[in-house]
Amino acid sequence: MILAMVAVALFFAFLLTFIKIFGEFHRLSNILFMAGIIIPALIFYYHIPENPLSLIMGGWSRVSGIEIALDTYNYYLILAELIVFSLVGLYAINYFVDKKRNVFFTLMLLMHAGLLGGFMSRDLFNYFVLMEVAYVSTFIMVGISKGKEATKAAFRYLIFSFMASYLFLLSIGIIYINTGSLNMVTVSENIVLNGQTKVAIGLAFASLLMKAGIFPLFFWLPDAHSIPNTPVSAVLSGISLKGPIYGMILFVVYMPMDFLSETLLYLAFASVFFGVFMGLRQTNIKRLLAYSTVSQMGYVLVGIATANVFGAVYYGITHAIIKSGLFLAAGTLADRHGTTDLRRLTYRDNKPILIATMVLSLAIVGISPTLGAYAKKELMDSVFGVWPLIMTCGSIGTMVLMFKMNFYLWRGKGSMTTLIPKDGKRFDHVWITKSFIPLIMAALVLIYGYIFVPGIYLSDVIIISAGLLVFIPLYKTDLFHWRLPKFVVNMTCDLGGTNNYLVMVYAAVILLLII
Amino acid sequence: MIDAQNVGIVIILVGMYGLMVKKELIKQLIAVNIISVGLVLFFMGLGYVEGGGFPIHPVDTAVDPLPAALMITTLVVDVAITSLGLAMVIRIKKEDASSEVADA
Repeated sequence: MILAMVAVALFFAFLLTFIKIFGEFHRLSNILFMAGIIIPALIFYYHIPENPLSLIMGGWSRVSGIEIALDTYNYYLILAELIVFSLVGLYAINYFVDKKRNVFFTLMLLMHAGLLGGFMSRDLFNYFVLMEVAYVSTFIMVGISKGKEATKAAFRYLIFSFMASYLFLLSIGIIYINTGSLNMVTVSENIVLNGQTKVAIGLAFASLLMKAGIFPLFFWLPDAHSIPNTPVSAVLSGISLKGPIYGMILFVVYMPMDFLSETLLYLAFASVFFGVFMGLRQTNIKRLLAYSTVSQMGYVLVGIATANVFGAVYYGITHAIIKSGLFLAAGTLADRHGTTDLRRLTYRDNKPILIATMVLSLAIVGISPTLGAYAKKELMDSVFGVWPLIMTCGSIGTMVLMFKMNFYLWRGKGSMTTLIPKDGKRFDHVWITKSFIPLIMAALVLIYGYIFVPGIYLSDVIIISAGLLVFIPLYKTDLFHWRLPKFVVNMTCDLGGTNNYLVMVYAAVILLLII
Repeated sequence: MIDAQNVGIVIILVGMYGLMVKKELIKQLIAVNIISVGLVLFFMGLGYVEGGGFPIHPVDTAVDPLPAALMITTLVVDVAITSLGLAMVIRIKKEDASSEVADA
């Protein structure tokens, strides 16, 4: 029974809140938390031979029951979800030591359950509800993190996510009028492309683009992904953004949506370049990675826009593993040096993190023989004309961004005083776990890359050297630190006032997609 | 034509308008709630059948029960997220007040 994956995660989340009544049991809550992550993975392993699997809950007919499925569309997403959560879970039990640990563990398990259930569902409303379960826990995890701006970031995230959810529900309603069903298979049999269904698909895509953080609806993402604690950032940027991607895949597979593909392609490439552009001027390492996520989600959208579902899935899972690894590596460095300022961090004293960051940086650009190269090649196969060239330019942009991050981390100016922690212990088990988990992720990326990528592409040399050629003049002329115009900075001070403008942007995107 | 669906969509647009013009955080939260009320009305209109009875043991025609069932779930999500949002608004106000004291 594959749905037991969700039930087990929910059950352990409940147990974790329950034991809190009786006191603080550190070891017990660690065991319960890891059990809530590992047992679903075992259940999944047990069900792999049954792939492809389709199941209607309660033995009803397809019209009246809720359908869940495991097939090639979501197999890899669930696999990536389990890998990322297992490794981040191991990191988290070493990271959280204070009283809030049980709260974080419970919320992470709820998010785990919501994402697993969402990835399996083939029913629009079921997908919506399970995604809300995952999102509500992320709002709280962002809100209770350290830092002054955490609550504000969480509030903005909540308002926009909430609004996008409701408009998604409105589009589900319109689809229900037109097809009389919420099940994806029956919907695809009955749907006729007319004015109403076009509006419905456009609305749904506007909402999913917001939740996936695509330009110009990215504005909640940098704050919400850079402010939280390290494990939370890793799962948010890694796997929770793939939830809306799965929703888009459901729409692409089961519904006619050729009329949107050109608009989506333009938005995707705008996102690719905007993410790189904004990332280059960040000095906060976590914000830099968050903007890089905006750029990478653009690539995933390229796969969606060209109806290349497998390209989107492969790119999505590759990004999930790489970005959670990079966030864990960056977060470990930031916690150790007590700052997130890129110019004051270094990885020279921590060899595992050094290797992991370099491998993952190359993988995110798509340099062979990492898994990133395979994913990027899958995407390249579906674009024609001038687009492959533009995509290569995007890769060069990402390369420049990664050169910037690695350059500052390598140079490591101004951080030599903080090299040895206060208690003098360098190689305790917490340090080892925290440093080696990004390394495991880098190893995964390399091993899978070795399996999937046939050889080394010589064109990668061009990308690396072009990236270096762009990076050096940008660094010499100090263009990284140009400031935004003053009126933009003033405008973003007021949380409520900025939300007004951002809703207008959202409304404009909806109009763009439905007309 | 005035029916529940169209009125629901108009209410959703009123909520969007509120989000575009109101700067206060609490009013923005209320505006999102207005969107949710419009959505509930829209779905209720979907299930409505002229002269239909209860969907339990239908005699001849009955209203569609599915939208009502969906909306109960949505209302639960709505209440939970609204209370969470209100808690966040209170916390933001407190943080702002304490930072102003620190500045002075």
